[in-house]
Amino acid sequence: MVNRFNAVNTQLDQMRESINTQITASVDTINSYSSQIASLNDTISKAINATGNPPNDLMDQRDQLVAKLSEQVKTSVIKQDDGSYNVFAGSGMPLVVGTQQYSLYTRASDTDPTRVEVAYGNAASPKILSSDTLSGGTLGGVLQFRSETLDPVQNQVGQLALTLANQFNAQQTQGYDLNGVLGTNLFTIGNPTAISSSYNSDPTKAATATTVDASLLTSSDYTVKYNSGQYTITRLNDKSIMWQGASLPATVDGMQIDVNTSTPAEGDSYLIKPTQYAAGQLTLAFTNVDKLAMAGSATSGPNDNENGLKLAALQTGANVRVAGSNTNRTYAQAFAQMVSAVGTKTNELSITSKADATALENATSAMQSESGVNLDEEATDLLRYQQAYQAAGKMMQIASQLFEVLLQLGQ
Amino acid sequence: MRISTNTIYQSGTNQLNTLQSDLNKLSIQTATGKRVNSPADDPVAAARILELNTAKDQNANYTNTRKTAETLLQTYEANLSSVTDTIQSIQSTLIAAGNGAYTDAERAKLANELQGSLDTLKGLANTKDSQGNYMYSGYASTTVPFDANYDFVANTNRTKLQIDVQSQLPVTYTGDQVFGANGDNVFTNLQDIISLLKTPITDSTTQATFNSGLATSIDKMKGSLNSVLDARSEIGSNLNLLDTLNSTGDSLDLQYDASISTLQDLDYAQALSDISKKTTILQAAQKAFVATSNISLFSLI
Repeated sequence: MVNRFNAVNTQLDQMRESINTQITASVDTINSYSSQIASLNDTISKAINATGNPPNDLMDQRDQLVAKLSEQVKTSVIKQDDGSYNVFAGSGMPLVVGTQQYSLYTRASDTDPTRVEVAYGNAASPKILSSDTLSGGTLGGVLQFRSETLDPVQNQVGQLALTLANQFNAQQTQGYDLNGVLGTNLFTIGNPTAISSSYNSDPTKAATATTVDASLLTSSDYTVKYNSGQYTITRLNDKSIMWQGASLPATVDGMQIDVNTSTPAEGDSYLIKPTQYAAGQLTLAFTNVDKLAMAGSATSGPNDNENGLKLAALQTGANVRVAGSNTNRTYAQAFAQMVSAVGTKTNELSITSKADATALENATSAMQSESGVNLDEEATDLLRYQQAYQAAGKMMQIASQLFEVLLQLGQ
Repeated sequence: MRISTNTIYQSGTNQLNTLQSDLNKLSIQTATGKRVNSPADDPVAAARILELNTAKDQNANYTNTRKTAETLLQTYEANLSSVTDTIQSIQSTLIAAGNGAYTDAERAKLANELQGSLDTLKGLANTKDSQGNYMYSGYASTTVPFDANYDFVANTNRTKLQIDVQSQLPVTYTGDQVFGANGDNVFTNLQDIISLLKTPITDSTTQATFNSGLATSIDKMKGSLNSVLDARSEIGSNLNLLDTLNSTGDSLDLQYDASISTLQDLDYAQALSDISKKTTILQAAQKAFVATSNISLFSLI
C-alpha cells in the first residue's frame, strides 16, 4: 500500500515536471511568434506607405502567425490604421503593440521551486500570470489543468495518506506488540509543509504545522498572514477565514499552526501545504510483524487481540473529511469520490472539446467560404478568360484581315 | 454556401477521424469486455464499482474470519465432548462408591480409578490446539492453564473475532469458566473424594464423614458437568450463527458480483451491432470522400 501511494505520487510529480516543460516550450513559442508578428507589422506598414498597395503575401504570413499563436493562448487582434496588428493574449495582456513586442517569461514560484510560473514585466517585480489571465490555447489549458485538477488531486491523495497513517499510528501506539512492548508508529509520515514568503522580514523564521486530529484534515492549502496586529489563517479551497487573533498557536482543521517569531512584521505571510507531499513521504517504520500492536495490555498473552480489533475497525469508520464539506467518509469512499470527480471532469472536457471542435469547424468553413479557393471555380474562370482571350485574339485577326483588304483596295 | 476545396478535404478528414475514434473506443471495449475502461467513460459507475469491490473484499475477509472461528469452536466441541464422557464416567464411579457393602480395599480401588480420570481431565484441560496454543489459557496462550496444584494460572479473557461488520464473537473458553474457580474446581473436588475414598472407615464418625463427603462430591460433579454442557450449548448456537452469517455472506457476494457486472460489463450484442454499424458508416464515408475529392474540372480540360 505504501508503495502504491509513493508510486501514484511519483506519477503526479512527473506530470508536474512535464507541465513545467510544456509551459516553458509554450512561452518560448509565444515569444517567437509575437516577435515575428512585430517585425511583420513593421515591414507591412512600410510597404503600404511606399507603394500604397497591400503586400498580400506578407499579410497572409502574419495571419498565419496569429492563427498559430492562438493555438498557444487565446488571442485577440485589433487592426490599426497603418495596417499593423495589435495582438493581445488571454484577457487582454498585450503581446504586440505596433512594432513593439512584449515578452513573457518563466520563473520558479516563490512558494515552490519546482513549480514553473509565467510572468511578464520587470524581473525585479514580476507580475505572475495565472490561468485566469492566460486562458485558452495550450498554455491556458495546461495552467488550468494544473490548478484545477492536478493540485487538488495530489492534495487529496496526500490527505488520504496523511489521515490513514496518522490514525493507524494513533491506534497502534495504544496497544502492545507480541513482546509486550508499547506499540510504535508503523508509518513514517511528515508534518504539513510550511513555507515562508521570501518577502517576510526574516524569511528564515519558519511556521510550523503539526497534525493533531487527522479526521479533520482537508485537502486544502492554508495561508497565515500578519496584518494590523492580527494573524489571519485562511483556507484556500473556499477562501474562508478559519481563525483570527493576536498571537499563535491556533488549531485549524486538525492542525496546530504556529510561527517561530515573537516579533512579526506587517505583511509577513506563510503558506501551509499539509498534503501535497504527504503521499510521497509515506514510508514503513518497521516490517517486523511482531511489532504490530495487537494486544490491549502488556502482559495478557499472545492471544490478546483487543487492539487489533480496533485497528481493523479503522477500515469501516468515517475517518476522512470529504473535500468541500463537513462530513467524513471511509477511506475507500473518499478515494472513490476522488476518482469519480476526475472522471466527471474528463467526461465534461471531452464533451466541451467536441462542441468546441464543431464550433472551430464552422468558423473555419465560414472563413474558407469567404476567402478560400475552390479549384473548380478557378477552372471555370480559367476557361472563361481563355475563351475571352481567344475571342479577343480572333477579333484582332479579323481586324488585321480587314485592314489588309482595305490597304489592297487602295492600290 | 460557397465551399472551398480546402473545406471539402478538411471536413472529410474530420468526419473520418471521428468515426475512427468511435470505432477504436468500441474495439477497446470489446477487447476488455468492460463498458467502463476509465472513470471518464461513466464517472458515477466508476465510483460505484470501486465501492462495490471494496465491499466484496470486506465480505470475503469476514468469511475467512468465520472459517477460523468455526474451526476453533469445533476443536473446543471435540475436547469438551471428551471432558463430558470423562465426567460421566466419574459420576458412575461415584454412585458405585455409595455401596455400603464395599470394603476399604474396594474403595481404594475406586480411588485409583478416579485418579486415572483426574489425570485424563487435567490432560484435556491443558491440551494445545493445532496451532500449538493452550486452549483454555485465555490471552496467555503460551502459559499452561492448570499447574501442579490444579490452580488456574493463565489469563481469564476470551479472545474475540470480528465475524461481521458489527459483530464480535468470543471464540475461546477459559479454564476457570469451564472447570471451575480456583480452590473449588472439578480437580480439587476429585482430589477431595479420592483422599476420602482412601481413608479407612472405622467407626460411625468416619462413616458419616464419608457419606456427607460423597454426597457433596456428587453434587459438585453435577455442577461441573453443567458448566461443560453450558459451554457446549453456547458452541452449538454460535456455530449456528456462523452458518447463518455464512449464507448471508454468500448471497451478498453474489449480489455484489451481479451489481458490478451490471455496471461494468459490456453488452456484447449491442457493442458488436454498433461496431458493424460504424464500420458500414466509415466505409460509406470513405467512398463519399474519394468520390467528392477526386472529381475536378482540371482532369477534364
